[in-house]
Amino acid sequence: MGSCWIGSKGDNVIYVNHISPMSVVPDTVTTILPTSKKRESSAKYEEDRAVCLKLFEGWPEGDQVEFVEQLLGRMCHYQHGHINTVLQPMLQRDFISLLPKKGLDHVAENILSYLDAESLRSAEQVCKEWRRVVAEGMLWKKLIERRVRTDSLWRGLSERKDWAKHLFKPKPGTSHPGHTFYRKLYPQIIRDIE
Amino acid sequence: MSKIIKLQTSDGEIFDVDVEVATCSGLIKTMLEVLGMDESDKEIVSLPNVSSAILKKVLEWTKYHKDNAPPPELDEPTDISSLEICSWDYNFLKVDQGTLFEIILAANYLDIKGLLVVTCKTVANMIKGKSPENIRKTFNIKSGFTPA
Repeated sequence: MGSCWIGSKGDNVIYVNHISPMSVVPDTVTTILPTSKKRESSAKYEEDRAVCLKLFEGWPEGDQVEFVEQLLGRMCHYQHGHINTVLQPMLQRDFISLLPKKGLDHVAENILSYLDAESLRSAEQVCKEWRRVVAEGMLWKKLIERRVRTDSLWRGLSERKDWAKHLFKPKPGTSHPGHTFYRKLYPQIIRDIE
Repeated sequence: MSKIIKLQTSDGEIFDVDVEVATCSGLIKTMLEVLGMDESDKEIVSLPNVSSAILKKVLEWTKYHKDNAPPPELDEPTDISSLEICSWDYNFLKVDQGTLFEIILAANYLDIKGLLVVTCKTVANMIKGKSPENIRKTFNIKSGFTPA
């Protein structure tokens, strides 16, 4: 974005200096030497940038977008490539970590509750926060419950192997085990089925 | 003639919305019930948590599903072992993650269950079948850790 401004301004400066060294160009510009153009121009650039940014910030959102499109149209391919690497992470969101920060743990849990066992195992290895959401959301328990509800083989096994009592709502006066119990139970069930 | 309700977004824009469309939102439905439909003519319902860009998307979705395929009305994945969503929703939600995130927040705030379901499924589809490292890449997550 900035290099476009520095480019056009820079060309202008050289042009003026060639014709009349004692021109009306401000002091900061007349000190520019051809050999150290890049280093010297950075102070000038920073000044210009501050002016541009101030103008930019004063515009409505729609105008800002239109302006940046104009800038992008004036840039070359390698610049576009660089902008792309800057832009891409700005558009990404760590949904599972960010939703609980907004008090929306249940939405993060809802997302992960759509996953199959293999993907859930990957999810809990992503980072601490994801692992916490899986554990606190009791997502292994929910996954087992979903399979028992929808698969008669699972339902039969849950009764025969006596782990049905750990699913759904606990009987009055009893409580259910913690998250790790269900995390270990899942591969056991798979082994029993095989 | 159908009634119109005025919705004002966080950035001050006012939308004239068909009441039938607006009441797909549980929040607005409750508001209107409390407020009484007649008074809503003059009132502007303020939505300080939703920007105009996102409300446009949300209204586009509710309008489509009001006229066409009714959205799924499921609270939790019961028999949905499949992550399928209809092709219209799939194309509608081909947006950057930031926009998708904002739509999720709006769907939750406005209490539009069907939209929350399809957006959550869309994120789940981005996770499904990936290794932990690929998930980190997908969502730009830096802090990996060695599982204990």
